[in-house]
Amino acid sequence: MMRCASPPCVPANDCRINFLNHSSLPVFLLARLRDGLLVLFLVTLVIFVLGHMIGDPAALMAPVDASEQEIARLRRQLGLDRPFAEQFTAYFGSLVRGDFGQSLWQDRPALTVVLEALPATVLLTLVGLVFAGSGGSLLGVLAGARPESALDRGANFLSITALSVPNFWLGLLLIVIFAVQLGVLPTSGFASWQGLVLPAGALAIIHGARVFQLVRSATFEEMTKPYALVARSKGLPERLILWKHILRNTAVTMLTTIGWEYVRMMGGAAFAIEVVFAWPGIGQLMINAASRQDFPVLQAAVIIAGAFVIVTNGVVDLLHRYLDTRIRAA
Amino acid sequence: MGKWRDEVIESWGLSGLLQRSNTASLRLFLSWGLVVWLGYLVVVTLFAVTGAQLAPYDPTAQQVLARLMPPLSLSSRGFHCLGTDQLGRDLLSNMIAGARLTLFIGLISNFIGMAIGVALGLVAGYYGGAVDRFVMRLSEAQTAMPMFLVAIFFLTVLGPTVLNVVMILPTLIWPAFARMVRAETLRLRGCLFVEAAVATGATDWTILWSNILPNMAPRIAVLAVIELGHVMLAEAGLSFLGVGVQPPATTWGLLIARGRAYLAVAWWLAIMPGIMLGLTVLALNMLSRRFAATSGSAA
Amino acid sequence: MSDALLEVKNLCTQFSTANGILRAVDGVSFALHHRAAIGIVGESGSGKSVTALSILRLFGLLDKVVVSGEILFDGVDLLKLSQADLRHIRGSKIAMVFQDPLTSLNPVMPVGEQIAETLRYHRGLKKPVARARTQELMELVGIGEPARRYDDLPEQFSGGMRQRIMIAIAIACEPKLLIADEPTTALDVTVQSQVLMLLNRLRDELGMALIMISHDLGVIAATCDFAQVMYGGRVVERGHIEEILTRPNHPYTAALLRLVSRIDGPVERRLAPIPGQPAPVFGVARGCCFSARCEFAAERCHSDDPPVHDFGNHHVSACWLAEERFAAAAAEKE
Repeated sequence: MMRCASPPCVPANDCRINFLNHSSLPVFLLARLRDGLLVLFLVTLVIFVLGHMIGDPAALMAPVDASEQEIARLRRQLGLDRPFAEQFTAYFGSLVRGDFGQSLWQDRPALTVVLEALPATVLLTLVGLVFAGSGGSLLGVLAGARPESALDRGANFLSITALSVPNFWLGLLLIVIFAVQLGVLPTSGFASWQGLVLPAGALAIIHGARVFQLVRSATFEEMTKPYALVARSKGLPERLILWKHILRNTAVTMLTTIGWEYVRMMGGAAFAIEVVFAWPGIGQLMINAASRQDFPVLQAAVIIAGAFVIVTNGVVDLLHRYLDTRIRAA
Repeated sequence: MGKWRDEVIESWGLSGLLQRSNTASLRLFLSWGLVVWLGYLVVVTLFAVTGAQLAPYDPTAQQVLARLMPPLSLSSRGFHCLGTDQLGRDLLSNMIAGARLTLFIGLISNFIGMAIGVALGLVAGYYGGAVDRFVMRLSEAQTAMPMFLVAIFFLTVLGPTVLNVVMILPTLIWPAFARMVRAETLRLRGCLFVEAAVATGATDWTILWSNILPNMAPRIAVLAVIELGHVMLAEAGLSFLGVGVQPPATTWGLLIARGRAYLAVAWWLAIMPGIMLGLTVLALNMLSRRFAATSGSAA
Repeated sequence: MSDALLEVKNLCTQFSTANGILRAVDGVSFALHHRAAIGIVGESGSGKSVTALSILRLFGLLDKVVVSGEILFDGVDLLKLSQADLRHIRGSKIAMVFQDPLTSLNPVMPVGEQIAETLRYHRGLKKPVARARTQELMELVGIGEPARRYDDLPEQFSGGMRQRIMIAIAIACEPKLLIADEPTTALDVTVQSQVLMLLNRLRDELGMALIMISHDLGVIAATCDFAQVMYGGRVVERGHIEEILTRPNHPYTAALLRLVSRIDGPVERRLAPIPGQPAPVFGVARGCCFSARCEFAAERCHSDDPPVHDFGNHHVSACWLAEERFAAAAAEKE
């Protein structure tokens, strides 16, 4: 009489998660690699579909006053009238060889242009991440250990506010306060380390706020668990309980949260900051390329950034698993 | 506060309509802070609904002699609460005018994203198997992609129109809904009332729509409010970068972009619209947190 | 009795909650001598756990608690001690064993370290010395191969072994008083008796006093000299364990005893549950706390709070009916 709508108790995705967590390391690595490559493939497919099939590269690449026939000829020349599968295979093949096309704007290989802009982005995001991670974690632990205190309430409200404002607006605000009004720091540029302070600070505030939220709730949750009460009953001081007992249990959360914030940064959040501060990274490059309709560079930028995101995701997963097993075996 | 709350509830006849537990929840929910945030959201919605009618001045009226005036200044036209821009247009009026499109895009995108996410989540959670795996893989893949960058690319290729923006923004938020709804569906699927419904011969559709979905409605509502904030911030970002809404339409993001050029001389042009946007998203976040905290016990 | 190890006088513990002031412990007094054992028995919500937690002032992070009264331990009022002084008592002079050993142990810390921690903090022992002593303790509580198992995590032990680890943690610094809060409730029946025998043995060897908290009269009978029955945050009866079990002087105690199914009793006898639900005590309560569910309740019971009446031989009870019957019996004798 009971119709069983679907297969047994453990749903498919939990099976996968269990598999990933409890399988041996090589299997895990292979599975993650396969997933990562799959997503990268998907990204290139989406970019290709958007760029070549929906958009009209021929019309965009042709000189402004070209006639319909000339555009049509250009289309045939570029092989844009061939079937989809053939076009995509050719495209993907060239990608794999490292040929992302030629920048329409700079007349250099698109990949080169993108790779030149990469270090600046990496520098900015890493510095921002370090401060976001350390500041957010520290405050999160302190706030979680003293719930309902002034520190907790204040920091919590500030973090919610930081997460409610647009990140580029926060950058502009920082410029107004520190560069315009106080004249302390430069508004833009790669020139000296001072130029790094404001943009990295903007990133640190916003991403740190999210780290704070998660670390705070994780710490609080651990503080209310029975083993914390038992530790207190042993007569151990609060400081010892917090830094020795609680931290071990929240460390994994902390590190994975920091990892995911990096994913968020490279997934687009850092790029608006780059634009605000004229930081010569990939974000700035993308906007310039967009305004100049330079599709090869745009495509290359998205794919490279995508690769970064995917790799970081993989590293975070790996770290999570490694920490889990190490803690379990410790 | 308590007495005032009770009076409000009594006078609006809500205590008769609501069951005792709901009244208690309403009492818990309302507090001075919440009333302020709710009030702010009501004002913003009013702005959006009435367009520029509530604005003190015509947002497009230029007055070159009164350009770049700071907030709380007086021009020949009158009092400018938030100052004027490079062409002498009143900033507050522009912000009020910008509310409409900002909220419109935000709400529509949020709704579409929610609809897609909830539908996929229900299907994935209820039927399981290959459908579930597919939906989960899709959502994981999408979260692993730099969707914001793809959105920039999308808008560059297809053109920065409101329609395109509304099409691409939902893709940023549907995975969050799908994940949550799928987890809830899995949890509820094993419940007794679902078995009972199946035993009485209800169709899958009825079970999903009338039995399972209503049980997660509070959680979906909370997530929808949070994601509305995310969508509004994303739209502001896209408009700021120049690939979102284009002038002469106004959104708050665009106003910030417009003001950016004058940051050194007229900081209010870029900062004020951001404050309005930030307050709106903050109000949404505060409301959703409070709602989650108080309805969590009832859910 | 100034030679008592622990004297609790009129302990009141109140929690401020969203629904009002909750009086979890409402005027509890008792005394415990060195090496003696008292069992506190009652239903959930009777205040027995909170009494124990109040002794060491172990409350949750967010609990808004007010504790009043006196708790004299070796002559020192624990309620007046500063947090720093209280920490010296916790774990070294008074130790606690908790109910669920799985969640009571830190899941990511080796068990040996959790035991050694107390030694290093309270006794100042160096790491290797503490490690050696910990392994001795592990042997003492019956954990085989202590050297190897020192570095194991809690999840690698069975429930009974985990409870033994908890006990090892508690007795590490040879406390004078051990408080056990439902130590066997989460364990299998077969393991329960092992743990109780271990507790008895340790009590003898180390000369500890014991407060055993349980809802199970059997557990209390197996380990304690005295039993104290609590209901609604108050003491309703207290006395020697044999007296309580055979000649209870309170309707609640009698009802509890009726609930114990006996293997040598008649088969047809049904369990007679106590009607009604225990209600948490908000606000001021008038009258006997059990009067709402008592089958013998009279007018007086609902309006006046019965005082604790001494029946001699350490047997006390708070019941108007018992007091009347006692007075009647005493009058008859004369």
